[in-house]
Amino acid sequence: MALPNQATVDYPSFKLVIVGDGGTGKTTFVKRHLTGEFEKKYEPTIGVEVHPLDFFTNYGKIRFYCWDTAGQEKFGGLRDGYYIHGQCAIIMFDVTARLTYKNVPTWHRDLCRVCENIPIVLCGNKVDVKNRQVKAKQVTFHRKKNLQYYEISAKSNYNFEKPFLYLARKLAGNPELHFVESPALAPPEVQIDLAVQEQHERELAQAAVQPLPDEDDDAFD
Amino acid sequence: MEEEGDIIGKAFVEHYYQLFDNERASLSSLYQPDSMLTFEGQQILGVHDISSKLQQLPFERCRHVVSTIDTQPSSVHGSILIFVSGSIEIPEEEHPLRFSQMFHLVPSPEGNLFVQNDIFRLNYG
Repeated sequence: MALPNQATVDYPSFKLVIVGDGGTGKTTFVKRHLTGEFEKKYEPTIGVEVHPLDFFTNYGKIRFYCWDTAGQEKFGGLRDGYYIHGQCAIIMFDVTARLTYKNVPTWHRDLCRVCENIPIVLCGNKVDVKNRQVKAKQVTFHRKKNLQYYEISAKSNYNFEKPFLYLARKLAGNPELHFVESPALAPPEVQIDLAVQEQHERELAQAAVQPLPDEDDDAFD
Repeated sequence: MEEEGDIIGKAFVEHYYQLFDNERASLSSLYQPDSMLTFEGQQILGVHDISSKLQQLPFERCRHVVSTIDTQPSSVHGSILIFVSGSIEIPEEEHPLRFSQMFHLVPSPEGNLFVQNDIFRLNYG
């Protein structure tokens, strides 16, 4: 959903809600997409910045209106007006800050209270940082709630397109959909150690076939 | 000619945000064991929990810019009701956030004013 003062488009567009603790990199992440950054609009009464992010698929263009907060989550939960009419979502946490993963169930609950049955991607950001507090195999929440999980590094553009591709496929109901062209992204500010990250991805794949730990949703350790 | 309550109210508000923005830990000196804070809908009772809530906010520094202050005398002698509106700037955020805050100041037996009730809300849709 675009803001009233924002151009609409004649190709499919969807409201994407981004939630997660303050400081997990939500704004940094959406700002990587350069045309979205040029066309973003701020609406002070809702306290939201909407970035229109276009992607090019084999079926034509698709636009995500990414709703990003102005930092209200640093004070408490967000108002329903932020979630309402959300068609897909990204829940972000910071793999270098354990508490931000611990709070993921709360964000998921708040989101699902307003937006029932929308596709959701869980993103563990800052995987470029050496000293991780949340290891890939410790991330299990998505498996309990049927979410997709990706490890990302906003500053290096690592896996930037993955969450959008997953959501686009779900929204189109078409697993054959793929991106035919990359959107212009801000140049990487850091380099990711791909060998280390491949190891993390292997751990994730191994963890995915293990039985889920027997714990309630809020437990982490 | 300003009412006495207005003068006290303004001085309090200036002092409170000065502490909040620069030395948040010192805010504990303004609350009492039975003070109440409602912060974005979360109810917190007592100076200890109020102080730790305010110190745990995930930003080091911020700047309150006050737009309006309204005061009224309250029923308890010497107590004042204060309503503030304004905005908060956080260094890592591009846009300031609007807020409203209400304080109920009540004098202690020694005559010092304390925050008995404090209600804080961000103003957005």
